[in-house]
Amino acid sequence: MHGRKRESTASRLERRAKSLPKVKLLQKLHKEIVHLQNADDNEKGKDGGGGDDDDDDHDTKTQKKMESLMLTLTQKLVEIQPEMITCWNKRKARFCLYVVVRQQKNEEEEEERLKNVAKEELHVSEQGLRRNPKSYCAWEHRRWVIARLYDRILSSSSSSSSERGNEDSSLLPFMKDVVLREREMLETLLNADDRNFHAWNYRRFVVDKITRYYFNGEHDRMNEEEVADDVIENRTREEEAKYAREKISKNFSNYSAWHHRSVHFEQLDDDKNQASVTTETSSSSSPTRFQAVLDAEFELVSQAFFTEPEDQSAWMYHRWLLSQLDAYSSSSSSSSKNAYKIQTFQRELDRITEVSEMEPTCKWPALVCARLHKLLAKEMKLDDDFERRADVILKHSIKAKELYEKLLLLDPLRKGYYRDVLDRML
Amino acid sequence: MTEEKNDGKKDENEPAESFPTRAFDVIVLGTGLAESLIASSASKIGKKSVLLLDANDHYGNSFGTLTEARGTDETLFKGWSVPVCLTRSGAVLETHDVVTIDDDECLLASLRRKFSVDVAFKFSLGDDRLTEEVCNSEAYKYLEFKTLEKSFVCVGTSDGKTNGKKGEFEFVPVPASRAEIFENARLSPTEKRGLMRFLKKARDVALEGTGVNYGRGDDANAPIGAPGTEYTLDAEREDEGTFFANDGDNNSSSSSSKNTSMKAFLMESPNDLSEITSDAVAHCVSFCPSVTTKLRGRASEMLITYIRSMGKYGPETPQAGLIPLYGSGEVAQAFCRVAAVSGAITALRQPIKKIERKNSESHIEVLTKGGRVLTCKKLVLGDAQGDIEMVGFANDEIITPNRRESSKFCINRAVLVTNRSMVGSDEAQHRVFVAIPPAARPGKLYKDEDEFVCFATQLDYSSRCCPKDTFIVHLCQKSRRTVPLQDVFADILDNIFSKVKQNGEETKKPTILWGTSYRTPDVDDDIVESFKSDDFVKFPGADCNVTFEETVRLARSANGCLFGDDANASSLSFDTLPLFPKAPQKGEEREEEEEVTGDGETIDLNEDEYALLRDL
Repeated sequence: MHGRKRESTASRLERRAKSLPKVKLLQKLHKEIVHLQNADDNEKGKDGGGGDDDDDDHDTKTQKKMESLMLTLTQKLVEIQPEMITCWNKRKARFCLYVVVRQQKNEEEEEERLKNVAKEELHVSEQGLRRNPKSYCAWEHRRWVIARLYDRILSSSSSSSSERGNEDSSLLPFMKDVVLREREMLETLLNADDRNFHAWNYRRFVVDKITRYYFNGEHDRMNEEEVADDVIENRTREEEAKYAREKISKNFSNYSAWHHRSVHFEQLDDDKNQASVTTETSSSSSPTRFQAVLDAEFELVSQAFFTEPEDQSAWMYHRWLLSQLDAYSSSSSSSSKNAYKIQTFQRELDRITEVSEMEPTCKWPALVCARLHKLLAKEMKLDDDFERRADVILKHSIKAKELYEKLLLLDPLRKGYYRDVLDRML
Repeated sequence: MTEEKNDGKKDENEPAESFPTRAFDVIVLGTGLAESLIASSASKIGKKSVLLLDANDHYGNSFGTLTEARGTDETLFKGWSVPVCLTRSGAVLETHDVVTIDDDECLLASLRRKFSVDVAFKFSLGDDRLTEEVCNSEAYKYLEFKTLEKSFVCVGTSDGKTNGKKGEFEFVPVPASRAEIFENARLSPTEKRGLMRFLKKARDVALEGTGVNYGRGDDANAPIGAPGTEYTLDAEREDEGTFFANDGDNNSSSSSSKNTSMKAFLMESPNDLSEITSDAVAHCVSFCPSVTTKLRGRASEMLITYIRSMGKYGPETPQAGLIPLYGSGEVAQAFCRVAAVSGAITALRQPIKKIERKNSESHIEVLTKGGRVLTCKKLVLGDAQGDIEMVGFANDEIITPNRRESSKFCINRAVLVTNRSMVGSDEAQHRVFVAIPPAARPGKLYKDEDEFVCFATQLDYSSRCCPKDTFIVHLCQKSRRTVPLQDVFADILDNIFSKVKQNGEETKKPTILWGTSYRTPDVDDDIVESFKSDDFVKFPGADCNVTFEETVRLARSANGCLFGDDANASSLSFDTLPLFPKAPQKGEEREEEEEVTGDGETIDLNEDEYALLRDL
């Protein structure tokens, strides 16, 4: 975790030595679970081979016993060390038995059992996350369980819709509860540590896969069929961008939040074509919707690097924004788009030159300035009247070279990279 | 919710109930914050027999609450007023009503029990002396705090920079943390950088030696963006201590820089902050009571304390200020309770007639008005205890009313009950602190060369000091005694608030439903130096500071004089020694606590888990 007092090497070694017998014990238990799995497989093999009723009864009994043993053991272990993937896999295998659609008569009972098992799995995964909120395995298990449930709902509704319509879906309201609970849990986790990228990833999973198609906050899409897909999509995108913005305003050194914003920003590409068509026909100089959004975003990120030029996350997002500009103008080349692009490059160059002057020892503004000079030189070469602007182009490329040479001194760790860039520029 | 603790006695002259003993180690007269701190510490930590008495029928005195005011027929509700004990003893010099209530049927009359109006409202910071004492003394059992949501500095709009009317105020958010700087639209990019640099340096000084990994420039392992790393300095990192303490010595060329004021220091090179930002930092972060407050000493110490306090309790509470629920009077009471719980005898309505130091018997005799004679080895005297005859005390141990009269300055306070937030109703923040520097007040009615700042603290329902849809505003400002009390806040009351309820047109200004103002003597810093004897301490009333810091400091050095080692008895270094030593931390006892690292190599189980797994 961030900002904690660091442990000394001596005390760390001592702690390790002290915990050694316990580690040994855990490893032993881990082995046992692997064997348990093998035994289970053997049972199955036998089961497939032959089977009269007595044997069957006996088998289910031992199986039940094995299963409960496996469940207790794995739960205990993942609560202590949630990265023990064997335990999670064992649990996944068991979950699969319940999630398959069997097309039997007592479907209700089956669904009830599935719900209980799902609740159990989510609970165990939550216990794992309590121990380590950044456990890959525990997060993946959670994601996997929800995805399976979701698949099950999709398959059962498609297979049974012809016969019984929607009435069988006791799973749907259950799913809705689960998703709402997931969102609550995410809220708590992200409030506790807003840089937990696992939680951010999972949030996107919950929002994209489920919320967007099935439930949107209070509104149940199942009941309001008339709401169009893109309306829901837009609403979700706005909500998520706003959420990321809130987190950024609390602490902008947050790659995850900037990334989250970029993910829900990217989709503006979709309507940029429509937007540009309307403005080009009206030939007005006012910025298109996309341009306005992009400008506001540049402004926001500049506030971050003016406050703290040493912080990388803002620069990374700035770089991503510049790349968006490229994608924007290349999607359908037009003179107004190119003009906007060059104009933006120029504006950003002026802005960051100011940062660079204030913080001459900071590498980030120097690096971004060098890139912008390079980009401007490149863009102008592509322009029709580039001969007229030859001196400007030359000026930009000379400036870029100067800056890269300065970076060799400022950031000696990456001088190989800067040399390479310089060589390519020749 | 006016606190009126009644111990069952009706007449103040009635003899006190018999105490189990008449000889005590310590007798404390008065229940103000400093007095209760000493009483609780002596009882809980010093294991001494303590008697805590107050002449009045309520706790706190100048750290307590206002009392309900009644008309002549004793039934008409007239708002609140300064307790009689304070005016009688000279702790309050004069009062002046701002808005009075005549209608007994009004809203406030019916809701009056829901108010808790402090005489001198103060708050604490997350990492200041008071919080330390609260945590270590277990007084936290009786207290709750909420954060101060936001700080503002006022800017006069008469300069035409903004489109407000002449003489009106604009509330500018104070950028004290990185997030606040980032969000502040008013700061120019250059200034953002400048302020950030300044705070970084201060943060470096603040965190030096705390063991927090705050990520120096050369520490490649500090996680990027970890709290503290935003303040990382690289090669230009300065030596600790040169930042504030020696800045005068460094520029020895100019002799005046040693006496630089906080504000001037911020505006000068290399900080080069604008006037508004300098005001914001000087008055809302360092809490300088005047524009001319010196950089050295208290002001820079408060700045460091403030920076340490921000985010102390996790990312969800980035603010530094903590408001005690039910008013700051609760704090003094909580320490009285700590004293009582650890064995001190506490009683109200115990007026004292005479105290006499008997050098021959090396104890002090206390004679109550009820005619009881008590003795003690150490005596602590608070304010507003009535006229007490003092025998055997040196002149400088007695702060006579005359001495108070001679002081050039005084503290002015005003308390208002309003119907809406002064920082705009659309703002979500209601628990706010506002500094109104003199530069923002061209319309004030008097001239002064001292340039004192007016501090305003606004509380809402969530602070449990007032009912829903009402707000309490505490104003506090030092001034010369020659300035009439009614002139001190006149322009602020006119510009920020309106006194009459306008029914017709919708006004944006909050209406004052009730308000009063009063003046108390200035509590000089040099009183601290009068702690010379090791058997007697006299505390003044509440000071002009908006935090409890100075009062706790005073209590600490008094405690040092009374109970400290003889060698250091006269020194003032005690103010850093807490009254309550740090309790052993839970973490230290639980070394067996399990920890899991990502690589799964070291796993610590607690004994329960270990046993459980062994059994499986």
